[in-house]
Amino acid sequence: MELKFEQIAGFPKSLSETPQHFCPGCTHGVNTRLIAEAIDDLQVAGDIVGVCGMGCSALLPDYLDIDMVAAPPGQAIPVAVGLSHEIGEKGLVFVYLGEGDLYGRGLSALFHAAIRGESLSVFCANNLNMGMSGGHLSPTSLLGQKTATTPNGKSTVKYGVPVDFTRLLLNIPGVSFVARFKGFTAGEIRKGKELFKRSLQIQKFQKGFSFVEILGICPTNLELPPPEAVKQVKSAISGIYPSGIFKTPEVGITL
Amino acid sequence: MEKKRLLKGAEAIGEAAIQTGCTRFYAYPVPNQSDLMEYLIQEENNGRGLTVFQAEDPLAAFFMAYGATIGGARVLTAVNSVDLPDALRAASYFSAADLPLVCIVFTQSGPGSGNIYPEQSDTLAALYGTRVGDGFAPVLTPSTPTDCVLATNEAFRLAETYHVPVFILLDAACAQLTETVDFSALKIHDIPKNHPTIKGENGGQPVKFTTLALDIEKMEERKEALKEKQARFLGEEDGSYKIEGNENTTLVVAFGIAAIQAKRALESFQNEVNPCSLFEPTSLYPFPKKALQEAMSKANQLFILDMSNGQLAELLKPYIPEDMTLHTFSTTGGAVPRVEQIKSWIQQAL
Ligand code: SF4
Repeated sequence: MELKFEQIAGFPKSLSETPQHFCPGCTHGVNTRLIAEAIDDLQVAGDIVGVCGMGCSALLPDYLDIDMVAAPPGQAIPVAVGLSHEIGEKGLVFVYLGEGDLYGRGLSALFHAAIRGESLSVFCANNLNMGMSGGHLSPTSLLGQKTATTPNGKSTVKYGVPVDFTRLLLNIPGVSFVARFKGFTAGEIRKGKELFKRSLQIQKFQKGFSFVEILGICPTNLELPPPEAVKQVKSAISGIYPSGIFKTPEVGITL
Repeated sequence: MEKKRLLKGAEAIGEAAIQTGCTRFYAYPVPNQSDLMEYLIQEENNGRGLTVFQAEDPLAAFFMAYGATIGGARVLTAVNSVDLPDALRAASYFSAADLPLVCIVFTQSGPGSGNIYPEQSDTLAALYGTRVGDGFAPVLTPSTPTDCVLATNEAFRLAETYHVPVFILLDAACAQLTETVDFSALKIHDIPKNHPTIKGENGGQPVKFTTLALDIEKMEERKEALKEKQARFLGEEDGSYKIEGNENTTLVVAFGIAAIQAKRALESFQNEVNPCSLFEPTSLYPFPKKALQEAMSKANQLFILDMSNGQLAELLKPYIPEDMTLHTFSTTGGAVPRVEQIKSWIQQAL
């Protein structure tokens, strides 16, 4: 009897072989691979440009074998908008960056691009702190969270209650797709790739603004071993940053 | 299109950009600058092949320009003095990525919000602010609408030749100055677009644009390349200027609206003083120093006129011989030097 083998997993073509600098257990490595797999599945490696922000995502151009642009802090969305204006008819443009960059100095650009319904897919890695700068407070840091700039824990008095930026995008008519998944649980990682693909497909066919937030862990700045970091973050974010598909072009808002 | 057109300085820049093949304009509307933006929108609607985009803020406009340039567009941007720091931040990134950019700075009275009237007090900020991280940017200073056309065309040439940001400083008075521009008498150069873009020009290999260089050797290499590029630029470009009356022992130096007013003042002298020469640098970087030094070699009285707290005099200092008698005159706050003021300043000194 002849055995037939089908390859069900392998090294994604769009992932470069350059060793990655991410710390052990960091979600950025998972996200990078998922994006590469999504690009391969959709066979769009030749037609896509990625824009990364500043911080731990800034070396993405070394890790993805596709056209890439590294943007200055706060300016990834404008750079992607300009690119999309120029090549958006023929190609896809996605942005991958951390929440410190996007929801901090990049917030205005994010909302304006969303309002205009720019043809973009924005993937935001939300790991509750500004990783590369040394674990500083980010706009999504949780109340009581200790960071390098809130050594006694984030307080409402100084910094207010953290807001779910992802769901703030829902009521903007120019936004076609909004979803969020945890990049640190096996089940959601599998779904995550499909969310990236969905986002890129929506951009390709419907030319809308798509947004996926990936909840991540930064074990280094949490000063925890990765399994412990997963456990703590999972319980801390529960009810605050839920996973799900919140908006699709087909069904409108589903909460 | 008609060969002769009555245009304001700001409009002349827009028209020249279109004729030079500019395909995108990104900006945030602010006083003085918006005349340019509105002209370009009108021409966009006339199907002239350019797209105008109003960004949410000036900094975003520059980085949209960055993305569009990488995507293959030939881009124009513009700010007024208030947002010059955003332009300088962008210049650092365009320099680092070896990308062309043409930015018009409509100069008005500052610091802070100041007012919308003309000043030349951003001269040193533009010249030295673009040197962030050892980057550099040519800085041009046209005065008349005809000069604005030539400077815009030249700015795109410099930007595409050296892959650098180029700044045009245009004071708010020159932006409003109107004259008939005879395009048939002007040579608008065709400029081959030769900057790197993201798609299909790397033999099928992915293209990467990053200004990050984490290791010292890589950054040293980049700095060395930048140094070589700057040396090549300074070796090949002399810096443009205009001169009236080359042989006189009295020399007036001014640019922008101050040069126009100085010219009017000098023309209205009727044997009240000996004839004076007027030297108008239309490029501040590179600075036409050979030409200025030659003009100064014939002079013994130097009059420097500008609209700031003496920035032009500070800039010219290294070129002024010790035995030269120096007179400076400035107006600030948005006031344009009046012809009578200039005349009496020169008369009193001589
Ligand atoms: S610092 Fe945090 S976010 Fe950055 S690579 Fe390390 S674990 Fe990941």
